[in-house]
Amino acid sequence: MMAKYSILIIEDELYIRDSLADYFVDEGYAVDVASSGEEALKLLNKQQFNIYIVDIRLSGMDGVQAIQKIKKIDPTATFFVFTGSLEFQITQDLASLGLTEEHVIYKPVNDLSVISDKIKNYGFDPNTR
Amino acid sequence: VKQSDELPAVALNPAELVDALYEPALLIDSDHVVCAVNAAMRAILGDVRSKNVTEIDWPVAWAETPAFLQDGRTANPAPCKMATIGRQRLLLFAPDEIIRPQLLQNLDDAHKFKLISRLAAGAAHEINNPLGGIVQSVQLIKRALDLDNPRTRDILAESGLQQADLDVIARFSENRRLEKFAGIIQEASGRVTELIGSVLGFTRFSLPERQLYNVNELLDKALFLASVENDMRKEYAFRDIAVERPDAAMRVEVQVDMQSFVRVLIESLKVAVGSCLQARQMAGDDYVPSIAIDYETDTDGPALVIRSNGAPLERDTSSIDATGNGWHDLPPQALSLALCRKAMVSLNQGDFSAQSEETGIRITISFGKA
Repeated sequence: MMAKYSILIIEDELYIRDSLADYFVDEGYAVDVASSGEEALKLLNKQQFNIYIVDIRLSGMDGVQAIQKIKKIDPTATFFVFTGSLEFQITQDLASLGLTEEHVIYKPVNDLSVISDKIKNYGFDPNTR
Repeated sequence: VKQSDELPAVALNPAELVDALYEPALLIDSDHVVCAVNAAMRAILGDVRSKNVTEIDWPVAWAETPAFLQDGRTANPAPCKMATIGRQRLLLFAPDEIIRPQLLQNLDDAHKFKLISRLAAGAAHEINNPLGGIVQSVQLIKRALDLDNPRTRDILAESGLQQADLDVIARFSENRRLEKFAGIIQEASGRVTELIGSVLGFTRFSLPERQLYNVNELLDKALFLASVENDMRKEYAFRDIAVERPDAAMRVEVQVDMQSFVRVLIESLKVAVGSCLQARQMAGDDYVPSIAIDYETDTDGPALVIRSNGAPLERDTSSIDATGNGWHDLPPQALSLALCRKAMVSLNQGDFSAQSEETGIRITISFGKA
């Protein structure tokens, strides 16, 4: 059996981080969490992930900086921006890394299957693994 | 605020002038003095934009219009003067003892509005985080309670539970109405999410920009915000009034500035609802207030018609144009609406319509006809 698709959730809000992690474990993914960009980069020393779900307004390194740094270490990774700011739009920096509006998820998410559908659409369906 | 040799003065840069001009109308109920100030400010800005002037000698056209005071007296606005200081700054002399405090009040209100917008945005973000935890967790609870869910079944099987045990759990869950309560949390948090999104969308500070919107979606936003707006809730009891509206399936796209449209529509609804309250005072509690909204197009272009079964406004035919001419013949509600932005307003035997430049849509309010 092949290893599960892996997700790293980078989110400083405990309630959101943990419930999202539980959801994706239920969905059949291998999930890890980090509460900051710095913590995420430490985890990357040990392993890389297929998917990164990244909050934008993080303390310390912000989400955009975290994505830029991770992309350098893990160029094939797929990123989803997870933001509570309704005004957020993909910046030039993120667009140059291949992110589009399709990669943005606005909090709060009333139906978590919207996120898992997005992830599956990018080829990471746990049922096909 | 700077002091000149002779006159008190308000120093503004152009951006502040725009703010002072446009934003206060949202926050203040118009009275005649404020209208005069706003008209003056519009004239100034119009000149600055169209002629690229660096210095204007007051009076311009509006100054021939006297300011009408609330106590019935009239006051001739004293001449004002605006001059360039450096490249960016404008100095507006407002020597009139009535106009100047109002001008300062306008500025104060504009700054308050910007501050409130920022506070609302910050507070909404702080609410969104714990709300996200609630919204996501309740979905997990519902999923855990769903005994048909494959993951739930796996976990129960791993725990060594048999079908009979599952039946007991299902009965317990049903008797204690766990799913129902989870559903209530989910629905309530969904409403909070919608509320925050709508309020944030409206309070976002931006210069007017026309975009294509579906009329019904704009009405959704406007009616929702009207129902939570403080005055409409407390003074106008808007939620108690039945509102008929266009068929939800109707999809007509209009090009408007969303904030302006919503603001003008809320002001219009206030006028319509105010007439309902007036009718209730006259007719007693048997009177049932109602409002109907229709979207129409005719030779004059797109229009929203708001029909209220309230009391008509008792005014003769009158009108206001973009320069403010004729404004003193209109009731304060119509003025308030007109001065949200540059607008053409006409009042005809109790009904009035307004067409503002920013909304591009004529709004007609009819009374006694819902």
